[in-house]
Amino acid sequence: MDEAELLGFTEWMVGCERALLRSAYLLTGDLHRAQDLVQEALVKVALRWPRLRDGDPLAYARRVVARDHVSWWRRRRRETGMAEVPEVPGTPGAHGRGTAASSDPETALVVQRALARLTPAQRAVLVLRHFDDLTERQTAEVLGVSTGTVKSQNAAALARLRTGAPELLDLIGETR
Amino acid sequence: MSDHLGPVLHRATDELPAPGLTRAVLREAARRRARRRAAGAVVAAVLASVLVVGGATVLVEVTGDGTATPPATSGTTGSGGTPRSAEPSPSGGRELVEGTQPRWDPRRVDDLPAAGPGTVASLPPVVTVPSQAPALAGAPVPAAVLAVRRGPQAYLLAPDGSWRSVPVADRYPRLALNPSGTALAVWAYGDGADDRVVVHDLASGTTTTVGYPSGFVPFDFQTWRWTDDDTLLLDDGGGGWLVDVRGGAAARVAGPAEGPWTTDPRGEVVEVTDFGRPAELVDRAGGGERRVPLTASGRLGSIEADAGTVAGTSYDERPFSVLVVDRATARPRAVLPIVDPQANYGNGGLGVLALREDGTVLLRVTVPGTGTSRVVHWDPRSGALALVAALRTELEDMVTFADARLRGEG
Repeated sequence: MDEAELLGFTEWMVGCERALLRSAYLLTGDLHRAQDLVQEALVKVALRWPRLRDGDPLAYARRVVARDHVSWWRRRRRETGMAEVPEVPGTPGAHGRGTAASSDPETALVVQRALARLTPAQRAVLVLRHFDDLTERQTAEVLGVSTGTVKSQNAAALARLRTGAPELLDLIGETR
Repeated sequence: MSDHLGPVLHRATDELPAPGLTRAVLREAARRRARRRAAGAVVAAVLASVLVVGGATVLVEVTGDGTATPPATSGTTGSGGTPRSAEPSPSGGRELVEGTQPRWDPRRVDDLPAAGPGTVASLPPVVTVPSQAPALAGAPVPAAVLAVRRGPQAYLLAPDGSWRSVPVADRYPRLALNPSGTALAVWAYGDGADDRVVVHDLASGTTTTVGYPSGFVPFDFQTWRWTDDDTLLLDDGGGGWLVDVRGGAAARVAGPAEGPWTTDPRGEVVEVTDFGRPAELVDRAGGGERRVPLTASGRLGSIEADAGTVAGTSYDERPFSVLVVDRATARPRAVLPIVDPQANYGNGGLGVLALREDGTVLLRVTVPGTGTSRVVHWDPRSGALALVAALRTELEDMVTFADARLRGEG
């Protein structure tokens, strides 16, 4: 990168790294892993910056974060031989998880526990659709799946939260 | 619920500060660029020798800075002598595979000369999906060239150019034609209540339902593939399951268990390791596991394989290219660098569709924003590119081909 490209990349990165971190944190439930994912995504954007700068580098970064997370989950599952790899629910103050991320500790804890009930794909779709506010098509493009898969994963995720995370329903004021 | 979820997710993370990764990111990016330049010099030296592809040779010269360039007479025109796009690399020609063959700009795909008739038997130059077609059950056909899912129907293109339809009422189905195109598998992928594979026999119009094997764990991003006309290989994220669709017998197999994978015409699995591991080709021929470092090519995606060759697209940090590598050594035999200024093609817009018996490659190239795509023929020996077919599909459509027909078998 020449000086102008470096400046452009740095400005872009400073403007989006917090949003990416928040999204990755919701995706993983672990701040350290979220930081690793975001750093890796930003490095990949930096390496491709001349080609990405006029397109949608944020979408590319989100894609790297989501896919690297799923890859990590798959590797871990193979290595442990587990049918399901449970995410660790938020524990205040432990390993960057839990309430330190929020001005509302109760909300943070409930959200972490609720998201931990989802599969990685459901969780990715939920975060991209409802936190990053992407459309179904944008979400499909980020994850490299069809919009039909996004619809089904989103519906499955919401259904699982309704039945398995009643405290989240209480939090958002929805009648069970 | 969904309307209220966003504000709750925002509240749950509102105290997370910006991570301040600028210095770490720039330092790591600089380190990888340096490593890539060093790798490029090594590969240029490898490519400086004569590249042999299917008995023909492509000479590659090496300049003083380690950049490989082809002689002016090699691969500088497409079929019929049509000049091909040869835009300079945005990184100034220092990249790994620069110059192996001229860069091709897929945005000009429709400028390519037409491939010879019958390059893919019974595939017409323009494929337009009908709005309706006779039901397969009442009008069976011997086989199909391709199938397109559109809404609640799958449309099958028969070799005589006629179409048939099959209802796919299950939610979010995936389709796969078997290699000879005589059977269509529909994977009903829903919320778990209706997980199964329905196999339509085209010659009789009948269907068979295959349940998941005992122990199979449906994974969110699972993949599958026919290994022969009667056997499906399902990937549940922890390994593979071979399922005989005629008798229903199932067997656990070691692969696929890594990253992108394919099967060769004999049904043997070839994989590439996933992110976070050293880039390797994992060859599971004969039930074994042979690992070959992808030192020269880097990690590959969208792979297809035959007995001696693997074709794929570059991945990760490399400039986007289509590569043909030796299956035993992972040594590159031919490289087609792709002009990809907006990363449309490197992010799924261009992939390898088939590695043909004659050593040529079929690519599928999407036309960004339209949902339509093109089938392109690439001859790695000459560098010639030609247009095989235009698929007038829509964004939501899903297309599957009969692999043996694409490979030119028989």
